[in-house]
Amino acid sequence: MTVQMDSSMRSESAWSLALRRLWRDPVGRISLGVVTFYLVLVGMVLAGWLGTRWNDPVAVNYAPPTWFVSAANRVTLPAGEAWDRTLVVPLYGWTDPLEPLWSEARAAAQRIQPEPVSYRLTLPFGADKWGRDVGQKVLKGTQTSVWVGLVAAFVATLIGTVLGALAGYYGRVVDDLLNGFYGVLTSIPYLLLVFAVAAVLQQKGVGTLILILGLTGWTGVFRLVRAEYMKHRTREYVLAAGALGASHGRRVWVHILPNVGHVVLVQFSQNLVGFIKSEVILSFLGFGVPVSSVSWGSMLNEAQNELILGKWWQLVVTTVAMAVFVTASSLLTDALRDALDPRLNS
Amino acid sequence: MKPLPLLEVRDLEVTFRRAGDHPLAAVRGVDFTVPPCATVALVGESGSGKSVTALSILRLLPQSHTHIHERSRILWEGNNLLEFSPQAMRALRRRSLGMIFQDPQGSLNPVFTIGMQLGESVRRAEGIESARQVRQRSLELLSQVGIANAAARLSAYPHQLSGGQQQRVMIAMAISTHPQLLIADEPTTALDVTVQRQIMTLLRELQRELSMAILFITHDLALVGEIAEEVVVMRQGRVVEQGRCAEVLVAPRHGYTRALLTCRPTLGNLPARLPMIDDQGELMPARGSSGSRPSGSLPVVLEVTGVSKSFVIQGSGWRRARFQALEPIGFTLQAGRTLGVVGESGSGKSTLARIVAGILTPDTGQIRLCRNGRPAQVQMVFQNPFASLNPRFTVAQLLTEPLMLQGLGNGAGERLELAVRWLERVGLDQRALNRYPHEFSGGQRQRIAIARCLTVNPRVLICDESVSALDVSVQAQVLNLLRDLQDELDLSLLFISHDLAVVRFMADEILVLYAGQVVERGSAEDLYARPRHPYTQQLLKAVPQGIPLSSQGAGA
Amino acid sequence: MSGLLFLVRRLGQALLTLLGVILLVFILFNWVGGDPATILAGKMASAQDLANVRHQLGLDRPLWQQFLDFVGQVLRGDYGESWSTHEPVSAIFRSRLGPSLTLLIPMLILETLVAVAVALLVAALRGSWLDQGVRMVSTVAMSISLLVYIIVGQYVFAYLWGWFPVKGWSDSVLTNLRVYALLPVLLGLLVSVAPSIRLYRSFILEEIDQDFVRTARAKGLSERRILFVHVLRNAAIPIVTNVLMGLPGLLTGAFLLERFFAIPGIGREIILAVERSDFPLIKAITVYVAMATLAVNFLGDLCYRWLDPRVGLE
Repeated sequence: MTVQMDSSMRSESAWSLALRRLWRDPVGRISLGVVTFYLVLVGMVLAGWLGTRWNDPVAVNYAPPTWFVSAANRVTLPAGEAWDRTLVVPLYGWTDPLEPLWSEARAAAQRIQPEPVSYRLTLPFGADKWGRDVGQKVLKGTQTSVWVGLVAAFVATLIGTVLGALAGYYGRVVDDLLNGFYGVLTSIPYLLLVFAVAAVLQQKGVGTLILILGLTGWTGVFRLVRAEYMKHRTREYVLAAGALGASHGRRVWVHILPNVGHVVLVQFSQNLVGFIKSEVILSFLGFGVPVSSVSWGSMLNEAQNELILGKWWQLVVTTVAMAVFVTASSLLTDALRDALDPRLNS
Repeated sequence: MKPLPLLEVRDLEVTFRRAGDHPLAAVRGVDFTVPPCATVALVGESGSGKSVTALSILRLLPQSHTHIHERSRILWEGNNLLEFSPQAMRALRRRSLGMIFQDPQGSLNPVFTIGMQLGESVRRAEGIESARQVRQRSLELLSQVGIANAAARLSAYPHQLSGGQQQRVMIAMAISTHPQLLIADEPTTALDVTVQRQIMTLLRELQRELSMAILFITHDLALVGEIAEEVVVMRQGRVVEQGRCAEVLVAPRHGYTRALLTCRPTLGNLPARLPMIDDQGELMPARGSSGSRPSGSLPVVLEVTGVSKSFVIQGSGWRRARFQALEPIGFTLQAGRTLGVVGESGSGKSTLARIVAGILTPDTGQIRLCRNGRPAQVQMVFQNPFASLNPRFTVAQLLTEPLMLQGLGNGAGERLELAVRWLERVGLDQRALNRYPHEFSGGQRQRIAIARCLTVNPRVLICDESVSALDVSVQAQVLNLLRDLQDELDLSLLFISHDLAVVRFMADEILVLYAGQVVERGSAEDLYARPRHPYTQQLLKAVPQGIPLSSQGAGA
Repeated sequence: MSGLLFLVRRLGQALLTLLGVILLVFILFNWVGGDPATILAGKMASAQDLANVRHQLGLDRPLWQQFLDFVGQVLRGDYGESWSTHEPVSAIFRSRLGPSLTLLIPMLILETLVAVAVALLVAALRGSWLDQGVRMVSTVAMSISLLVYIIVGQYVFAYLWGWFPVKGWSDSVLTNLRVYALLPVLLGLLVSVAPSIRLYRSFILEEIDQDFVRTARAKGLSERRILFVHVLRNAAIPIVTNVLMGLPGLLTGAFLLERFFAIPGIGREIILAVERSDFPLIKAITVYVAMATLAVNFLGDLCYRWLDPRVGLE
C-alpha cells in the first residue's frame, strides 16, 4: 500500500490561517504594506542603491524644501574656495608656523584645477547646515535606526526565548537562577541600564548599539515566554509527547515552541519599536551612532538647534519618517496579536 | 382550562455575527411555554442552542454580536420582552427573574464578600432598606439554601467556599426577591455527583416552598426526570420533541430523543455495545461482537505495589505544606481485562493515572509492566481531546512522531503507511493525514488520540476521563471503539471516570477512590449490586435515576 | 502563608536581588569596561601615572577584595568622590533627589487620574467611535519620539509663545511647582498617558468579559454600578500594581525632561556623568535607583496582596 499525499488536500496550518486573518483585516494589510515598504528601503540602502550620497554637500546651507523647481535652481560657486581663504588669526608679527604647509596645500589645489561646483538652491526635503540633502539623510538615517532595531530585537528575542523556555520548562534551580538574574536586570530602570553600559563600553557605533540594546532588552521576552512555558509544560499534549518517548529537548523546542511562537513574534515586533525609540534617544544624546554616521536620533539632535533658527524641515521629515514606521509597526503588532490568538483556532 | 402561561417563547431565532465570517444561526425557530409554578427542562447536546435560548430570555447576550430576528417574540405574562426598554428589563430582572449559571466560581465576584454580593440582591426587594434588615434577610436566605454557619459565611470570599456552597450562594441571590421564574443553566454540571444530588434536592424543595417556575437547562436527560414536569428536546438550534416528561421519557416519539435515552450506559442496562446516533439524529442499533469478557487465570501485565504521591501545594523553601494526593495503593491488571477507577474530584484518580503512565514519579512503591517476561508499553488517552493533540502538528506528524521516536517502521514511507493503518482502524481515513487537529470534532480528535497511542503497540491503555468531555452520542461511539479495540488487540484498560454508569459499562473490576485512598474494590457486578462501604453506597445513590426503569429498554 | 513569613521572605529576596545588582554593577565597571585608570588618568598618562592611579583606586588589589570594598561602600552609603567635580557622590545624589521628585510625583498622580478616567470611558463604550478614535490617536501619539514632544513643546510654548519659562529652577519647591515644573510635567504627562490608557483599557475589558458581570446584570444592577463597583474594583488590582511598578519607567522620561529644561535632578546628572565617564557617580546612581525600584516593587507586592482577597495577607 502506498500513501498518496495529495497536495490539493493540504489544509491550512494555524500560521497560514493567521496570515489570512491578518490579510482580511484592512488595518493589518495596510500596516504590513508600510512595514514591508520600509524594510525594502532599508535593504536598498544596505545594498548601496539608495541614500549613498547623504554626506555630500549638494545644496546651499539650509536650502529650503520646495517641490516646485524653477529652472534657475542652482548657484555655482568657484571650487577650491576653502583653500583661498586667508587666515584671519592675528599673528602679531610672528610668522605662521604652518605657512609652509598651507602654501604646499594651495599649490596642490591649484594643480588639480577642479571644476566649479554647482549647489542647488532648494531641495524637495531641504538641506541641513552643511548643505546636505535631508532626503538622502533620512534614507540613510532610516536604514541605521531600523537596522539597529531589527538586529537588536532579534538578539534580545533570541536570548529571551531561550532563557525563558529553559526557566519555564525546567523550573526549580534553573528557574531560580535565571529568574534571579531577571530580577537583577529589571530592578535597574531600562534607560539607566543602557546608559551605564554605554558609559562603560566607551566606544560608539552601530555594533555597540546593537549589543547594548540586545543584551539589556530581553527581559520582557523572558518574562512572557517563561510564563507560557510554565503553562504549556503541564498541557496534555506535552505530557502525551513525553509518554510517547519524546525527550525534554524535543518537547521544549519541537512541541512547545511552535505553540508559543505567536508570543515570541509579538514580542519581537514590540521590541523593534522599543529599541528604535531607545536608539533615537541614545543617538540624540550622543551615546549612539558616531558622527560619521546618521540616524533618526542624530538628525533630531541637529534639528533641535535648527528649529531655534526657524529651520523646521529636518525635524518634520525625521519625525514623520519615524512616526509612520513606528505607527505601522505598532498597528501590525496589534493586528498580529489578534490574528495569532490561539483561541480563534478552535 | 390551562392557566395563562408565565413565559412564552415564540419562533425564537438568534444569529451570531462573526467578524469576517459567515453569521452563525445558533437558535433557529424555537417555541415553548413555561406555565406558572411549573418546571420545564430544556435538554440538548452542545451546540443545540439551549443556553443561548436561556440567555436571550434574560437578554444577557452581547448585543454587538447577536441578532434576534424581528419575528421572534418572548412573552412575559403576555408582553413581549424583546420590546422592553433597558430600564423595564432591568426592573424585571430585579423583581421577577432569577438565574444561576454553570460555573458558580466565575459567576461570583472574587473580590467582594458573600455578604456584600448577597446584600446587593437582597436590597432589591421592597421594604428592606436598613443594614440590619439586609443582614437579617441574608442570614435567612443562606440558611434557606442550606449553608451552615451562615453568619461566618457572610464575611467570607467566594474562593473560600466549595463549589457546592458557591452554587448555593448563587441560588440564594437568585431567590432573594421571590422570583416567578428561576432559570438554571446547567447548574450542576461543574459539580461532583454527590453534590449534584444535594443541589437538585434543594432546587426541588425551593420550588415547592416559593411556588416559582423553573426553566432547567441540561445536557443530561437522566436529571430531567428528577425535576421537570415538561421537557423540550433541542438539537442544532431546533426543537425536535416536547411534551410531558412522563410521556417523552417513557415513550419518545422522535428518534433523536430515543437515541439520547439509550446511547448512554445506565447502571441497569449493560449491552456489549451501545447504540449510536447517526448524522440525521436517528438511532443506529448496536452492532459488533457481543463476545464474552475474558476471564479465568490470565497473565498479569501491570502490577502496582505501594505507590503513593504527595504534592507541595504552597510556598517553597523551608516551609512547605504538602498534600497527600495518593496513599499507598496496589493492584494488578490482567491481559485483556479492564480495571475501572471511580472517584470524585480530589480523589487522586488522575494522579494514579499519571503515575502509571510514567508522567509523574511516585514517592514510594513501584510499577511493573510485563508481558511474557518482556517489558510492555503503556499509553494514555487524556480527558480533553482539544488539549492533548499538539495544534501545530498535522495528523500525519502526530501519528508518525511516536513511531520515529520508538524506532518503529523503516523510513518515512513505511511509518506513514502504519499511521494510515491505525487511522483507518479508529474509523478515519487517510484524507485526515494533512489536516490539523482544529479541523476535527471532539469525537474525531479523541479517535486520533487513541490512534496515536496504538501506534507504539501498547499492552495497557489508560483512559483518564477520556469520554467525559464528549456529548453522549459521541461518547457512545468512543466507548464502542475502545471495546472493539480491546477485543481485537487484547488490550488491558485502566479506565478512570467520575461517571459510575460509564465505568460500569467498561470495567470488569473496580476500585473506588476517596481522598487518595481505596475505600472499596471488587468485581464490577458485585460492587454495584452490593456496595459495602458507605461512600460507595452514597455515590451509587447519587447517580441520577430520573428515568423510570420501565423506559430503559424502549428504544433498543 | 503567614503575613510575617511573607514579609521576611520577600525582604530576603529583595536583599538578594540588591546583592545581584551590586555584583552586576561591579562586573560592568571593573571588568567589562576595561581598566578605569586609563579613563581617569587621561590619554597622555605615563605608565607611572597609570600605576599611581591604579593604586589610588585600589585596582591593584585582588578582584574579590575590590568587590568587598564596593559592598562596603554601598553599606556605608559612601561612594567616594566624583571624578569630574570631586564632590562626594552621596552629597550629589542627595541634592539632586528633590528636583527629580518635584517632577515625578505630580506626573505620577496626574497620569494615573487621567489614564484611569479615559480608560474607563473608552472601555465602557467599547467599539464606539470614541473608543476607536482614542485607540488610533494614542497609537500615533506613542509612535512619535518623546524627544519631539519636548523639542516642539519647549520651542512653541516657551520660546515662541512665552507661556512658560524656557528653562530654569529655583530653590523654592512652590515656585518650582508653579513656574518651572509646569511645562515639563505637562509634556511628561502627554508622553506617558497614551500607553497607560491602552494598558488600563485592556485591564478593564478583561474584567468586563468575566462571568460575574453577567451575574450582576442578571441581578438587575445598573450599568453604572456594574462598571464602578464590580468591574473597577477588580481592575484596580492590576492598575495599582502597575502604577507602582511603572514608577521607575517614569524616571526615563524625567531624564530627558531634566536635561532639556536644565532641572538639576538625577536624570540630568546621570547624562552628564555618562558624558564625562564619571564612573563613581554612575555606579552610585545605579545602585540607589535599583534600591528605590526594589522598595517600590515590594510596596507593589504588598498592595497587590492587600487588594486581592484570593492571595491575601494572611
